[in-house]
Amino acid sequence: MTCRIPRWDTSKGNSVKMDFSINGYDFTGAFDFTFTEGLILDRIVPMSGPFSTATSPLRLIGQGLKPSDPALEIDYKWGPVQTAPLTRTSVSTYAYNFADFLNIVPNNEDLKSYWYEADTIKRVDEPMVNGKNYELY
Amino acid sequence: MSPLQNPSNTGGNLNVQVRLSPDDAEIVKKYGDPKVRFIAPNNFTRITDCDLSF
Repeated sequence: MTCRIPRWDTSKGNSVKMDFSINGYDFTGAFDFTFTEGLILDRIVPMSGPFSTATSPLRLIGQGLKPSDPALEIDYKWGPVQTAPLTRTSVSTYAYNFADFLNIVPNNEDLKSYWYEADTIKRVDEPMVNGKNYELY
Repeated sequence: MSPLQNPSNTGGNLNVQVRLSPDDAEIVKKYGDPKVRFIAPNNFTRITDCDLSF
């Protein structure tokens, strides 16, 4: 069977019991079932890096991310991305005002902090060198 | 019966396997109305439809 999962209000509790029925009336099962939050990645910081190394810390900003113990190891690699040209009309959907941008992740101060620091810390342009570690702000 | 995927609260599909006898399978093919029900500890309940495949 392929069943539609309902949108689930997590305030009702994530751990539920799941029953199934083949006639629509008589349910059985009482299986333990846990809803997980959908993973949404809003932004990565930095948005680019050295092509041949991936030693710099990478910050993922999004929803549904949870800390794990032990820490989950995620590998990443920078590289060229092929993109198709966008038409003017398709780009218009990305228009936003500044307040909306800062609240792209509700109740999350990371992006605000990042914006504040990026706007106030003196910028130094420096060519990136393979194998050199760069500190993130 | 076994759920095969980790469900997301944002919706989507869930594959459920139910083992039936050949006779029961024929009845389900003709008259089945498969549904799945989720019940929270506070009895908040959602019931959704399923599609059958054999």
